[in-house]
Amino acid sequence: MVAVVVANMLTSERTNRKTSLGPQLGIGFRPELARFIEQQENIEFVEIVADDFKHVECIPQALRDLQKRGVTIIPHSLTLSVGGAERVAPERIKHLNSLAQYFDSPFVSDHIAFVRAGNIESGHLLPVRRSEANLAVVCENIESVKAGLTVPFVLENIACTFDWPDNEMDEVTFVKAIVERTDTRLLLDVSNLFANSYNLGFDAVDYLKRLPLERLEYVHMAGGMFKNGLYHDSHCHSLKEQSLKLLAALKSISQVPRVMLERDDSFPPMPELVAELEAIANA
Amino acid sequence: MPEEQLSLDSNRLRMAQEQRELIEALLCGAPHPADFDSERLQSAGDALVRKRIRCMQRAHNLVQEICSRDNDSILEALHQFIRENPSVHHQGPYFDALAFLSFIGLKSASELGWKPTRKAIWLAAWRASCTAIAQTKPVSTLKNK
Repeated sequence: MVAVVVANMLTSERTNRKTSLGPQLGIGFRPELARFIEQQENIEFVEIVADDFKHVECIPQALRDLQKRGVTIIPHSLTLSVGGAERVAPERIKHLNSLAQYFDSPFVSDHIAFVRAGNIESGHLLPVRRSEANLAVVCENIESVKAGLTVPFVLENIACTFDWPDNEMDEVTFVKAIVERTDTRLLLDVSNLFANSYNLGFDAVDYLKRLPLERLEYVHMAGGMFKNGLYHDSHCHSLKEQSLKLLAALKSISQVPRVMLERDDSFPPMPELVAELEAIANA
Repeated sequence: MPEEQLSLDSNRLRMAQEQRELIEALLCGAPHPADFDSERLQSAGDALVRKRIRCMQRAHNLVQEICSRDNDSILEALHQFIRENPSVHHQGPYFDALAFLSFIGLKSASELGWKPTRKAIWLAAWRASCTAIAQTKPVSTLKNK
């Protein structure tokens, strides 16, 4: 009886935490940030770049320690290239799944993008031409990834400074069709959305309203910079007010289960990172 | 083969063609595909090169070390390496960095340690300069030698 009461209290506490304190807070794990992350007691999940850990032996002790502390580890891939014309290599899917199993992760993620074509690796995420024909190929790729995973697959929107001239549909229609046809969850990068709305000229709030937000699994927030009339989602500059306002708009129309900060380079002093984490928690 | 699968396969072929044309325009100096915003594509191609360099620097301390000494020859060699190898190494930035170090004659971290001497860097810069000069010198000049 006592056990049941305690369990109910704990469940109630977790539920209250969700409603009173908002989304779980996370950050992208980078070796340079390991010490910082270790000191942040409010970090509930970290995302790792799956491609950085080719073997289990490459996993740093800092990550194992975080896992022991109860921090959720989410493997995030940059190289499946589900938006590519080539079929997704089975070994890449296997690797992503092995990380998910190692960390007992609730899901894994990658992007709606391609990173290779004609034997050339771009080293970055490139946009897919948004046509019905390409949509069918992307969905087939995603189904092949899902078939090789033992955890759910989550898909992220990317940032671009250019677009295909002959798209048959807008970005949000494409993203919505992909996640609904393949029954996948959504990783919404709010900063990428701001970047595209600024660079390509569309209404970001309208985009948010048209997304299937019931599929939202988590949110990315990152800094960037304005240069020559374009916004570059650099991940090595401070968070911009525009991204935070968009996050607030998202929170006003949808539950946000998790939100995290991405910082890849030019790491600022700790107080600045703490302030950015607070800003995304309180947006 | 079912008709639906045939259609998907032909979709893949068309998609492969358009994606190859785009990636070659961004990274290999190929002509920009029709109707793209050329200025935006050029800017995106430049951003890809900058990102590649950042990734190599983060992946291998030695690349960071030699590029952060304002050594124009090393930087020129880095851009030369990227022009000659437009594809990022398929195993990722660390192997990309190793390929660059090999390109300029700094074979490996284990050979030099993580902190190369000034002499080793000077030699690498000198070799890179010689390569750059040999490649940019007019053919007529070479013949006159």
